[in-house]
Amino acid sequence: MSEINFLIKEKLKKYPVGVQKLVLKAIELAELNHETAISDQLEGVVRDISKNNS
Amino acid sequence: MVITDIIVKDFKQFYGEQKIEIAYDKKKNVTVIYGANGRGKTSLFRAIMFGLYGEKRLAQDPEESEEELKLVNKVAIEQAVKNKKKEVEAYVQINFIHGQKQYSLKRYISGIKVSGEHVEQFGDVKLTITHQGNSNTLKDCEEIEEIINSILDKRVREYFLFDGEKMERLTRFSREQKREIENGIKNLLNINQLAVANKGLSLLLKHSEAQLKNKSTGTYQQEIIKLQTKESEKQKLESDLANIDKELRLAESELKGIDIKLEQYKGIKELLQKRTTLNSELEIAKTSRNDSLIEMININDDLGVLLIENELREVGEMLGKKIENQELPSPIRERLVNKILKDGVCICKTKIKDNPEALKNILEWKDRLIDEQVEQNLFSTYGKIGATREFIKHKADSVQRSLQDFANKSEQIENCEKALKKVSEQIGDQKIDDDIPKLEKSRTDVVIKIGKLEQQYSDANDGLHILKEEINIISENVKKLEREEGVRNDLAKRCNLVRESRDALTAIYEEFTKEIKEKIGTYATEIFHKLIDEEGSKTFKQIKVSEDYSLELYDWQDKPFLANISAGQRQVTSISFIAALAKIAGDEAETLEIPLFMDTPFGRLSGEHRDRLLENIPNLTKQWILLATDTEFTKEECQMLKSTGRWGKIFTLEGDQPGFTNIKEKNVITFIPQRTTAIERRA
Repeated sequence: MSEINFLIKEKLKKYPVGVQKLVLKAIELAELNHETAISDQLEGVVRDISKNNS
Repeated sequence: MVITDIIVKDFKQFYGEQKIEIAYDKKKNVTVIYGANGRGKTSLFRAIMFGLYGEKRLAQDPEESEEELKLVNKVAIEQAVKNKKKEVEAYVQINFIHGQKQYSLKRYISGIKVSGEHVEQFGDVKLTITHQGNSNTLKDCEEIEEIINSILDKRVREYFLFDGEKMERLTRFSREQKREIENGIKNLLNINQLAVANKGLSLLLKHSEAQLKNKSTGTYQQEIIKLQTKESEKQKLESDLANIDKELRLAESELKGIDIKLEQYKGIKELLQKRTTLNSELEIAKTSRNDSLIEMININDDLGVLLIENELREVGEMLGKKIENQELPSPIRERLVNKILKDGVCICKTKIKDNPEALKNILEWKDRLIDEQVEQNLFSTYGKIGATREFIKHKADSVQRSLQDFANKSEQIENCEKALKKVSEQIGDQKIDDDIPKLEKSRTDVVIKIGKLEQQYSDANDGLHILKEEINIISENVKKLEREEGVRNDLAKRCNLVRESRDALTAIYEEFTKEIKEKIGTYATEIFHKLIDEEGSKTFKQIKVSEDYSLELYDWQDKPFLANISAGQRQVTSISFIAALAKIAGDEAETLEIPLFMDTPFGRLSGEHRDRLLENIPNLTKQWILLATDTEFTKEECQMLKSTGRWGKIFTLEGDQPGFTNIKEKNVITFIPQRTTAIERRA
């Protein structure tokens, strides 16, 4: 079971860094939150990633 | 995780404190718990579930039984009432080793009788962890739950603690089977978290696109609106699919309920049908017997003639004899005798007047003469006697036939009545709450409903695929417009990031589940070929988990074969799948790190399959706990298991009254199952 996160990270490598960050954060949040809370909390993350990438 | 022992006190059938030590030696890792039905094998299984997770119910328990399910020993409760004690505190203690630590988990449940009702209440739970000589006891439920889940996740427990029914279910062609496989894979690998993350990103995308639409203009805005509309349609369709799926589950559950009832009534149904048939046979026989009776009454009118049959026979015979002896008709006519007497001369010219001897002869002739009229009457009577005797013979035959017929019908009626009595006794007091034809009609309705829902599901699924393609095209168009029109504001960028992330996660999720399915198929195939008999190995090539999560067995021509396999082959397929899941869950270790419990798994397996299981399962897992009945663990299985050298412990569940089961350890070397083999029984 422990290799799942590693596998996901490996698969994410082909995507842009911003996408990698956002997906991993979404997965992390999904451990304890439901979809609405995930969406709310990701808004700030999206803003930060966009700002840093621009 | 290695279980060292299980202690139960006043739990289910186990009165007082009783203990089972589980074999955990690397070389001897098999424990057999042997007992007749109802002796408590499943209760031990339940004790483990309760001990580890505080759960009363097992997957195989009917849903409605939750209220009735009691865990505290009833005899102990009755004794507590008698001894004026307040309540009975039952518990299950599971001692196990995981990693370098020793764990002792003890969970209580109390039972009490209130106003004649058996009431139960969950009690405390205590977990003591010992590591390098230091012990720490935890009492916080949530903390304990978290630790236990990290060792053996509650969601996958069924795949380590399973019974024959579970194995059977996994290879049935149904949505339920697909769902079981899907849940098994998703729960075991914790990939549900990916699905939740995906939903979160989809929701964020919806919000972002709404914001973007409000701040955009022209063609770009139109495309964004289109995209949003399609996304909404997609979400609606996904929700519809979920609803149809829910309805399908309900319908399938309803069907299952009806089937269970019909199965229960199957025996009675046959008896009822038999009773109906016998009743109608009885009616027919009675009517027929009545007809025979009426026929006999009709015959009765002429029966008087039968009384003179003997006399008629005698007279007939006498007349016949006379005719035969030519006494009838008289050889000499009366007129001739009178003429001779008158003339005094015989026809032979003898003068009878002078010859007293001749006269005497003529007079004797005269005495023997019969009146001509009488003679005619005698002939007529002789003829009538013949006809009457024929008539009597015919009547006698008819009477004989009618009597025989009547006797046959009476015997048939008697037999029918006997059979009816027997059937009625067999039906006895069994209650039939539902009308069987009504149930059968409901079943047909539900099957039709399921068919319609499946069609709806398939249509919605096709629609979803089309929508996804359309969304891809519009998304590409939006991106193109963004590039052409230089729409590169922050909002569009954020929206794109979310969309790309959502699509990336969707792709990864699909890729990941596809790979896992392939991996499970590979491992399951490997295990399958170890467990299946030679013939099966020649027929079947591999197990695959298909796209829709069906478990499929392929032959060497790469054609699906599952529909045609035997019940035993089905079970081997299921065990292979479960073992493959467990192998992946255990980070693909050669042996499972978790004990494998199997409750009555041999029911449908042939001798060779049983042998192969007994030979191979001990190598696949660290501990194998086999809960078996006397019919599935006979001398043959016992000898086979002994020959593997892996058998560590044997416990028998003994008792002669309800509520009392004693767990007794026996010697593996000297243990002989009570039930003989089929060959011995035949001999």
